[in-house]
Amino acid sequence: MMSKTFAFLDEHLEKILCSLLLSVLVACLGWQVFMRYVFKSGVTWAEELSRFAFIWTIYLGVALAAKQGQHVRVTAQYLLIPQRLRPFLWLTADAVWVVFNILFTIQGIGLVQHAFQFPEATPSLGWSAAYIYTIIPIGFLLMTLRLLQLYYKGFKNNTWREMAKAGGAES
Amino acid sequence: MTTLTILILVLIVGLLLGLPIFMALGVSTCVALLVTDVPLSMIPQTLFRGVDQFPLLAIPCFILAGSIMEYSGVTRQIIDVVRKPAGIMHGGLGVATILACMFFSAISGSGPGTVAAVGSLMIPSMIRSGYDRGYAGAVASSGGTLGILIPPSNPMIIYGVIASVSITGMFLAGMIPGLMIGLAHCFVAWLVAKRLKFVEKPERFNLVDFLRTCWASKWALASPFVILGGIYAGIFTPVEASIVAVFWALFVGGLINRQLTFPKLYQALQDGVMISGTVLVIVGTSTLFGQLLTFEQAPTRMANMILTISSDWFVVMLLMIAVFYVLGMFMETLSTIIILTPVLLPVVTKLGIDPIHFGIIFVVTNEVAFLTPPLGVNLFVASKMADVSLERLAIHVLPHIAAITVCILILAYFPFFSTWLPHLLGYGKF
Repeated sequence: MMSKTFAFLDEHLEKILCSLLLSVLVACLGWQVFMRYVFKSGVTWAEELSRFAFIWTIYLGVALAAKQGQHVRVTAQYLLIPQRLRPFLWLTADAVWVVFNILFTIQGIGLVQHAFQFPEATPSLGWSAAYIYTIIPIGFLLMTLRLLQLYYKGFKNNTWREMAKAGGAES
Repeated sequence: MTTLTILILVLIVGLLLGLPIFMALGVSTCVALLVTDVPLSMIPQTLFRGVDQFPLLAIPCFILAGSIMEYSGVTRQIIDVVRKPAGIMHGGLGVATILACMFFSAISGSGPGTVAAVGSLMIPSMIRSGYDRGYAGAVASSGGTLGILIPPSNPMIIYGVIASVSITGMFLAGMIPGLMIGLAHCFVAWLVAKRLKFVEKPERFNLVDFLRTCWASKWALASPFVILGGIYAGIFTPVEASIVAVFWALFVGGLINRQLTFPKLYQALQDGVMISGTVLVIVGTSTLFGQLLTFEQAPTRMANMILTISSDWFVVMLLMIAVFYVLGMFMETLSTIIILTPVLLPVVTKLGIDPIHFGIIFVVTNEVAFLTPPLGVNLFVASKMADVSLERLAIHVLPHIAAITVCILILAYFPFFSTWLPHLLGYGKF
């Protein structure tokens, strides 16, 4: 049972969260447009909430894109090096990626701590900004975990060499 | 080493290593910050604030709207209509593909998205009618480039945000160049089909039949007017228009066509999410990168350097176009705009070039970037659908690239094609 839940979350966690966030964004802005043109009144909280949903979508989407290998890279230079060396270069790039992800996560945690020490409230919703900022460390941490997971699976099944792409073509 | 050298050097090494572009920008800024006394805590702050720009919200919404329409049969209806008048000439299906792309471009703001929507229906139908696979793929991938030129357009939104140019102004400016390049593509599609003598019986045009098809597809045909009309009339901001587009798509797809299912909607949401996670995040890290560049006065230095080469605006423009062509072979289009706009804008304004004019030239050159290997996204999409090799497709798109190039030169030399409409309606004129 536990493992089933885990497998489901593993597959769908970011997808579901991001879809919900994007739906919230659309709903809030839809409400705002409706109120503005039908009742001639502004709804500032809707705009703020949609902005937060947007930023959260981006940094959760970053983890999802990492998991699916969708991130935009320049890979034409890979065509110039021998095929058997490509996976090692790819691995190096991803290792650098993970290292800096961890650094950004730590910096992100610092941002959140700072925001808790010197509380600021968001202009119209009045929420504590610290909670909104948590998406930066969460996003980078989740992305790190997804990358490590990719390589864990890759090494276990000995498929990690197939992750390298050349010329930008999708495998 | 100066901070600037480190910044640029690490960026180049990162890109060559194959780091994702957003990370290469982040890593280079981070490394360069280590040699300055600016605290690293500016990184997460800027990552947050960089994407906290309201107009950017229009991008996932336009993608979402386009996907909903595509998945709920709107593309099919558009194609049914444009096939009728195009059927009377040689290469009728090729011309119809371009026309359908032009129409879909007025709903969607993405290039590869347009190729996928129109190509998935038109490529198989062209191949069945005896067209060459390379031709079918080339027509769809070239027509798809219009997705970013005919408004709405994702690159224009990003350019507008970064360059502080009115996005509505950009949307107005793209209309005439978009129609011009669309017609150029139609001409090439017709000419090549005639030369290669594809066997296809030209159909007779029947007005009654045509009008009947139009009426049957009326809701789909109304989409561009609903989406663009509000922006052009000055009623809606681009973000509001994108939201109207989403609800319009839900209305047409769910209530009129009744083809929108929950899994399709979920997939459409994923499409919107994916552009946020892969492209919009680049806006975040490039803001970081750009701050350090500005701190080191790089754009001004760059401007002075370019101005020593030539101070004639057209020469500089040609130079920039050449650079965009080369970069376009290797770089993803939106990334090019995100990275280069802050660097080049000072040059542009110093030479007295209208930022709207420059923006249009930038976007049009990105159309070529979609079609040039090794990284030509439209080619990837179309080569899969037409089942031809990337190399063969790259050769087949050459006439289309030539056509765009001629248009670019005209558009670059005569700014009024781009600036007349926005200035007429009072955008971007000071």
